[in-house]
Amino acid sequence: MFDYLANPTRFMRLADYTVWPLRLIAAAGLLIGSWLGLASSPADYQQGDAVRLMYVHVPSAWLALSSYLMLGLASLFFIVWRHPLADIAARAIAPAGAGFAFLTLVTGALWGAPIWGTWWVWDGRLTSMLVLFFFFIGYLALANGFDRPERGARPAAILAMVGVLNLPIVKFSVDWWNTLHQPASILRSGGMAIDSAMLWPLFTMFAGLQAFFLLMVIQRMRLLLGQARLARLADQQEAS
Amino acid sequence: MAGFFAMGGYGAFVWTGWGLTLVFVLLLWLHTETRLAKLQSQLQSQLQSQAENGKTDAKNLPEA
Repeated sequence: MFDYLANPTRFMRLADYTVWPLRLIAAAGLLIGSWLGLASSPADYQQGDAVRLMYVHVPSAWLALSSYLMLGLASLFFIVWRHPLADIAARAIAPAGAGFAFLTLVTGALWGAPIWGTWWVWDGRLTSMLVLFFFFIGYLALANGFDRPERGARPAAILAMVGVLNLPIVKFSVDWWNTLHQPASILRSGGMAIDSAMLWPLFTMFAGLQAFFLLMVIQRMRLLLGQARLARLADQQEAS
Repeated sequence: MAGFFAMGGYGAFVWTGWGLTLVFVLLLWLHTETRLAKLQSQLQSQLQSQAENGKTDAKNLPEA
């Protein structure tokens, strides 16, 4: 399957079919999710309406983690099989992933301020999430810090793979160490510990943001492939 | 209505968090789509100019 998709022309053709469904799912998910999260879902019995920050904080955190995993895998494919499309995929994933990591930190601080009584603590979960954000920034700096993009591809991919080691630390930090951050409520061994009235807005927002993220990755890959093609055409014109 | 915006006294936190998230989504979405549309038109005009100079086949796919 990877060989099939690794052909840029085939990828572009497949991308044409996925863009509109993703646009529709993203727009519908975000509109319905915003209505459910801000107006229709109940306030929490302890946290009141501050719980509504969960509907943007938790999906952002899931997307930051899953996008870093995708970045690490794309970098691995690039290093092992040296396929340029894997490098382009990694470059397309990183900006949106960094954005979601940033949103996770900011919405977490906004949630923590009224509920914990502090914007920030240097505990395992918050610190490892900050480290994840720095890995995204480091990747972007290395991948885009050279005149010729291919020179930055390999060091950036190595950094991305090293950063994957941080993912289990982020996930299990709330189990390994004492922390202000609550333990997992959804992805945990004893089943979900959250009422369905709050699950629906959460999953709807996640579906909308996930579709948006995939759309951004596909569109940015098309953009990077198009830029490479434009550069090739300009070189051809100069050479002849 | 005022109660909805007040969010039980947490309005400043809730609206800032939601606002930042939705603004990020909107800006990244618009920025990416605008750049892609601009690139597609650049590619088309480049292909067209090369075709006029006889260096490229005009049927060459103008996709980005």
